Amino acid sequence: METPEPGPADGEERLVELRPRTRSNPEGAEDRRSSTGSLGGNNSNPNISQPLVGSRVEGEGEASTSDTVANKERPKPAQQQSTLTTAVPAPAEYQIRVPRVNCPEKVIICLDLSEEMSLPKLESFNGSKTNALNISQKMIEMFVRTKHKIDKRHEFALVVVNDDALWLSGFTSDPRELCSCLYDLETNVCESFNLEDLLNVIHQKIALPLMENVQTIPPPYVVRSVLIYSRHAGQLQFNPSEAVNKMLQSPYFFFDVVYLHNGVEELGDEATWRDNYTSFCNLDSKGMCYHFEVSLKGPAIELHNCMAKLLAHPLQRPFQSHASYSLLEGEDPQDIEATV
Amino acid sequence: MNNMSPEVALHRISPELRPLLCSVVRNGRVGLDSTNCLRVTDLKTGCTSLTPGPCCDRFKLHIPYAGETLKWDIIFNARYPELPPDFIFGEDAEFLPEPSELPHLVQWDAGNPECLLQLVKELIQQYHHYQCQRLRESSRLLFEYDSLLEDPDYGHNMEIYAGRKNSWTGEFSARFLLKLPVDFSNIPVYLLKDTALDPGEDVALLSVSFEDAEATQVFPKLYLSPSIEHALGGSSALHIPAFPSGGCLIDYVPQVCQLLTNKVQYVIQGYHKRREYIAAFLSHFGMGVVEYDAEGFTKLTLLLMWKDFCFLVHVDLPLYFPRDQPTLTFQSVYHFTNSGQLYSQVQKSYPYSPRWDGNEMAKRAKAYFKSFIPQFQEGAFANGKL
Repeated sequence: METPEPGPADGEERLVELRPRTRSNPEGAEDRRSSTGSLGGNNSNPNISQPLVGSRVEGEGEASTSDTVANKERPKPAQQQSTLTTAVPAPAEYQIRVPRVNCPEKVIICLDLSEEMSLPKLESFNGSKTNALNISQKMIEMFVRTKHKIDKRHEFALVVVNDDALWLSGFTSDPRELCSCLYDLETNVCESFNLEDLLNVIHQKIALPLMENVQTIPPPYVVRSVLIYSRHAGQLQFNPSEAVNKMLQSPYFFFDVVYLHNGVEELGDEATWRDNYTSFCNLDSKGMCYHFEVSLKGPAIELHNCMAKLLAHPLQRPFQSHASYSLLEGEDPQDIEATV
Repeated sequence: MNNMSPEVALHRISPELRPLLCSVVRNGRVGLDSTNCLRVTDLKTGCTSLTPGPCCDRFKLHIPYAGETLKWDIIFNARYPELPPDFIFGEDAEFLPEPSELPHLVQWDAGNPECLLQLVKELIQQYHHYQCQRLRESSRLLFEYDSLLEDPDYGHNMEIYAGRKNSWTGEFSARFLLKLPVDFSNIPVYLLKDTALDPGEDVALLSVSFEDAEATQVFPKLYLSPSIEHALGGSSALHIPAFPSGGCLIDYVPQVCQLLTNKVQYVIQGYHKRREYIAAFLSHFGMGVVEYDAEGFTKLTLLLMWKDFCFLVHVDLPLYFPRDQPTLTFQSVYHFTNSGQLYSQVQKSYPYSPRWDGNEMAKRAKAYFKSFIPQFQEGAFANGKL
């Protein structure tokens, strides 16, 4: 049995004194957070790279997608009635950092059941065509099972969206319960997407934590909606009530979106998918949500990968623009260093 | 027998005596074993049956002491509640405490709610002295006692119970209960707070039973308060070496203390080492973090990509890390098994050394991932269901 060595190591020792003796502060471990938000004072160890890892610098946070070209500016509200009518405060003034604790999540999966979801345009692994609903069902199953494996406290709910939103199941921490509702769904032609209705349905079913001190006390849970959406036609209807606005601005509420689009850029006077996508992005006043746009005609693997990226805990994941998963980063596989 | 909850006892006791009893039953603790409360049974009255209730004025008090439970009768008089009580000390007919050694009896103050509790504590002290006197029957055990008494670490935190196990065989025996001076204050809080058990004081007690006066049959046992036992890994934390034959307490007890201190150190070190590990992994892989245990640093999940192939790595860090190696579980995001479970593969013995620091472990892990992933991906597509 190896005897642990006493004495300072790697600059970690100075963290020891700051861990409180009391039982009432489980966050003592996190007290010693540097201003950039990184875990453990790294300044004494030159080998650990820059504190930018996972940090959230104030003022940053424009949610962007990996594929969007130069679409980083917020569009002017005048163009679309569907954007928020209330003034959204600039991130720099309002960026509240919630402690980056892996508290339980309540995840509301919102699945669009419009006709587009069943058109066989996606290219599956073996080259055959498959539809978005099919892939979504598998992705969702993977998502809830994986989240459950990581932390059994996470809870899930399923909402399906036709012309209106319908709360099908949840909250439950048993992924099988949710999955049992997942496979008997049918799509149909939908006239419009009532975002307001969806958010109202969500709002009625949840209660967001109210914490005295947002920055130091971790919440007992957070609520995250994940919307898988595929309609192209028409504008989003959106005139949020005050209650819904408050929900959207809560530091414990997240609205992630995966937009499956047809890639059509020009539609005359009508809003294109890109306009709608931007509207979704604009719901995110805090810059903490994840948004993905994926072509319905592309490889299905893209959709899978989006869902995988959405596994990340909203309080611990990096800003979407910082996220990076690549293992090889352009290295030649043969250059792998030998392990001893 | 006739066990009653504190609330029932307080309800039935004569009102003038209630404050005194209240201090005793609600959080009244005497002696070393603070995990056990004082209990009250056999609540009775000395008044006539015509007296309107509640008017109970006497009861049995159960007091944990040196691994035994003393059952003392405490007898007040409801008609004269200002008077101090009488005591009957169970079967210890020879226990005759000197009243002058009992300040709270000499200056009994019925108006002070703590008075009875304090008096009981003073009586316990006297009882302890009385028991120590009985050790004189065995010079061997007296020697054990005297040598411990001299040591400031143990001398003031002992309870002794001595006597004849069986008045027929006349075999003398004794039990020593010692509070061990082990510092638990640095145990990471997250390890302690999860138990639903009584938080109380964190304490380690060593009970040593001598079944014979010559100390040839000696049975030690370790007691830890529930949250400490849990923090140190459960019931395995109670394993202590057997008492060496011919050995003595003054050598054995420090050994047990050291063992416990080492375990505590291990757990504390493990916590800090895990924290360092996760910090290093976040530094190397942070942009792909899915979740990590931000409290105890026992787990971390990463999302990585290799040639458009997404996979997850779940890292589980054991309590006695870095001595014990973390477990890696690789999972495909696309595949399920034939039975509908997530397609994953566990790796427990990849290149690893507990001597590497967190940073080195992260670098080596990255290299390992790169070498392992191609075959993992192949396996997933060959054996998994899309």
